[in-house]
Amino acid sequence: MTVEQVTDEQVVTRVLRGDSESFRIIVERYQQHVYNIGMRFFHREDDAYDFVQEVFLKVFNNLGTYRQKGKFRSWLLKLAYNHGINMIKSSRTEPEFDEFMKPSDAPTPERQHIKGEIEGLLSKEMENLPVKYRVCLDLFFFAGMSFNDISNITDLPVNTIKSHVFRAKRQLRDALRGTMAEEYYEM
Amino acid sequence: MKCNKVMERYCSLDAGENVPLGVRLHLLRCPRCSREVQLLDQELLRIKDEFPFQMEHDASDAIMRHVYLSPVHYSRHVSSFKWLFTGIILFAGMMLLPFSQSLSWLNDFYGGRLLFPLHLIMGFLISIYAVIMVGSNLEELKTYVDDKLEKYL
Repeated sequence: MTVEQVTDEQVVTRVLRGDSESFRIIVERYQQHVYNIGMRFFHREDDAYDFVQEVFLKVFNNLGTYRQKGKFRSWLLKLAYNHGINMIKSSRTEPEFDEFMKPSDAPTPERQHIKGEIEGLLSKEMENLPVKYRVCLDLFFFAGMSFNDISNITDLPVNTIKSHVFRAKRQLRDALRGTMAEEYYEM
Repeated sequence: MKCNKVMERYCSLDAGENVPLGVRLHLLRCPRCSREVQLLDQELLRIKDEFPFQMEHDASDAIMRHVYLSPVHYSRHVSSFKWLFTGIILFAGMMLLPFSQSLSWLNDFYGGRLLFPLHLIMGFLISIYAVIMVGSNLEELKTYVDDKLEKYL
């Protein structure tokens, strides 16, 4: 069985049996997800890297409390999300928690990381949202998670998540309509 | 269903959710909506796993260093119930051995010479069980003994 074929739950079982090196598989699979959440919360690469390390260490230390009923990915991302919220709440230098609920006025790092037009449109849609909803859109569009899974992770109502995702998809659709119009024009 | 309503319904779908029959039928008949859905799906598929913030370097080595330094260590743990259950089975088996037909048959065949090696084997089995049980629960046993000693001293 190759590393790609091993499920998260099987890896967790191995780690709990004393094979700590298997934890590297979990880290390699999810560091990008966690880094993304870190960037959403802290907007700085150094802080996001520190966040990734703290989250994975916390995951390792709490692995014994993971009950294999739910998906491990959801458990891990919930832990990362809650850790991010707690850090924002407890940090004096970071914006207050209420600020975290508002859309950010600061130049967003998304703009610097835009790779394409569509990502640009998504980022534009996200800029108008409070930070915690941006995480929801990330989880839906980039991690391919369902509304229920995102709701379990963020404790936000399914309908709220659904409506934000819907709006973002509509934006995409409108943009793609432009592409379609160009196609017809070229024909 | 009208085109706009179909597209709205399509946009409200969850990740991995099946496309409703009404929407599917409309898409079969309407080339414009079908193209729109195709483009939307292509884009959604393309951006999946392409996170807006890409890590510039792999953090796994640094994380694993922290993991190895962590005070938390996991090991295969057999529950007390399983130890107790195995012990009872072993003990009951030995107690019931004199009443088994096989033993009486062996006794008839070999006579009293069988008893000594049989007791040796049983003693060996009990010792093995005790060694493994104590060895794998050494930490708990040590803590338990220390607690008791502290209480009495």
